[in-house]
Amino acid sequence: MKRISIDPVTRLEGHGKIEIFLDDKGDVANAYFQVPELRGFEKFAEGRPVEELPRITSRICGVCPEAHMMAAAKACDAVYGIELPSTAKKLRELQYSAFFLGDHTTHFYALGGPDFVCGPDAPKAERNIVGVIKKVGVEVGGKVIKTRRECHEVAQILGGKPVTPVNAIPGGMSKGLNKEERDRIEKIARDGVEFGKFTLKVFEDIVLKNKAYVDLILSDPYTFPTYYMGLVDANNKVNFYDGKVRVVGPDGKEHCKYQPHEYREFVAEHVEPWTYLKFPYLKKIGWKGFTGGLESGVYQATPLSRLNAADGMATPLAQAEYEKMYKTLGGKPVKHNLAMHWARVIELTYAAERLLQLVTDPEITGPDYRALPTKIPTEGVGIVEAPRGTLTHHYWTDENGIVTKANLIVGTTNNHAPICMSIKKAAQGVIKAGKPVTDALLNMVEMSFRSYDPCYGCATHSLPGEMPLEVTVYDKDRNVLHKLTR
Amino acid sequence: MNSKTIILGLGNTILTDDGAGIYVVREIQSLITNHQSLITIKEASVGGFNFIDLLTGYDRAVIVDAIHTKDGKPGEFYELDISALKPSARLSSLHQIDFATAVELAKNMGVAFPKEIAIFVMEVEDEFSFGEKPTPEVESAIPKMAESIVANLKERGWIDHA
Repeated sequence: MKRISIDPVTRLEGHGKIEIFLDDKGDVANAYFQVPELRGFEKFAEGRPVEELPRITSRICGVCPEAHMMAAAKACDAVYGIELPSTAKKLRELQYSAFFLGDHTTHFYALGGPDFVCGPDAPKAERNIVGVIKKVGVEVGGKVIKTRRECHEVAQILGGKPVTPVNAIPGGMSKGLNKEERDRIEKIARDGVEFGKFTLKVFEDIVLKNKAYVDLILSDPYTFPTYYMGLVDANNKVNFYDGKVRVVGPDGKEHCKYQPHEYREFVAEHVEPWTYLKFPYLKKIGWKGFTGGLESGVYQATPLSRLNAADGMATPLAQAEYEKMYKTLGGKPVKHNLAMHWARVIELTYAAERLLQLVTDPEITGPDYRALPTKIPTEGVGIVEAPRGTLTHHYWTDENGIVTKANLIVGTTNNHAPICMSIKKAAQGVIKAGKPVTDALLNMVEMSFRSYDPCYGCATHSLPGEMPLEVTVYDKDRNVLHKLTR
Repeated sequence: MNSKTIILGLGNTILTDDGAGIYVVREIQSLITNHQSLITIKEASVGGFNFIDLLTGYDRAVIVDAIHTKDGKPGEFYELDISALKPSARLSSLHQIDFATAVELAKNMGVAFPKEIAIFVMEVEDEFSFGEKPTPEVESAIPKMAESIVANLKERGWIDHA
């Protein structure tokens, strides 16, 4: 068989693109961001029994299968009008907390973290998790791998397989938890809480104790006021699995709070000719173009947005750090996008604490882990917080439960307009007329994008790596001035 | 031959051609004899960090995946030179680490990671549309690729000539 070499960026189809256009003087006039998008999900779903969708949607994306499964299962509950038994709800949230812990761990240590740990202008080859372990110590790599493995183990215990789970079903879960399994998860949760404390310390030592980094977080190119969205529980505390969607403005005031089935009264989608991805916005304010602030319907749904949209965290360590963050960064809401990494670390800690809360709840080993559907199916909406934003699944069925229509608003799509705008703002802030465009500067543009932890994971399968990204800067005549590829 | 080998098919079988690697390892399964107990065949729809979990504990790994290059002809298959993955070792975004970074991380961590890795890929036409059936060129190349990989692995002595 032939053996060949390829350069992923120049030869592979389907990479992400950031394009920056300069004006006559050499300042940034505009910036665009494009990614390939999956096609035809709605048609694919039509004609299938609705109860298949939690299994199918969990396979849409290799990065956040649990989020799709949970949103789909909740939409199915709603389609059949089922009220879940308390044990079933808690088991789902237990599994979901483990997923969040693992996912945020990946982002902080492998993706966003390297910019801070290794430095935003460190050579590209060092700005990754290998660079992180070289700087922080090899034991950090061991902790990261162990935490991720144990989060998968929780999924394995609950669902029989470590990734791409299929155990959330209409009305609850496919199996319950016995005492032995519970004990094992409790041990994992306790280790997770310790790992959360360790991560808060890493963040404190490396980012917060470095004035240059705090200044970078607070700097104008990364400051970006919009509305902020997130799920909250009955006490307006952050919840990943259930509750109402709350949106607060850049002034910190509540704009709306809605039940999942009401989402279309509050969120609409704008279309642009240069991309297939849509741009959701707040319907009652309207689409005013790519602009932020109180008058524009653009909102963000991110870890930082969730913290901004809530009144606090439901667990003690996370709550203490939440208060510290707002005190350090000048009160609520925080509009500095690089604070997203801090918010993510707070959420990581919350996920571990919540995992422990749930696994030590006496109801968790209860026998009522599923209610059987008895009503005639119609239509239903399920909403969860995916690690990178509010995830909405909406299904319509006929009276036999066969899907007639499906609509999804995925986590990253919420942030599509803010991502485009943040890239432009960061580009305007760091690329200046008369100053050479360097790889380090372009990385600083990319950091604004990376803070969202954008997951086009569904578009990243077809190579033994992940989706490459190309950043191109053009002069006023559209000649390529500089290109950065990864 | 005491080396433990994993043959891993990567992809997503609900994204048209994206499942090519998985279909190929299913064919390989039917081509190799049962007594080769040191060979494990697995399917996965994941990347990045998960490679470490999936490949740990094996001496050799054979990875079969789909690829889409600009000049690629759908159904064409070849072995990918693993050093070619180096440029993307820098990738630190889009949510996952890439394969080369995963390999480097595993080495740095002293994880029992395969010492020998071979990557076989098939050029595909459509890996972005939902669908459970590959496009015709890809579909007809699946058995050919499976046979070719088995022959290649026998040549290397990674599987028996039984």
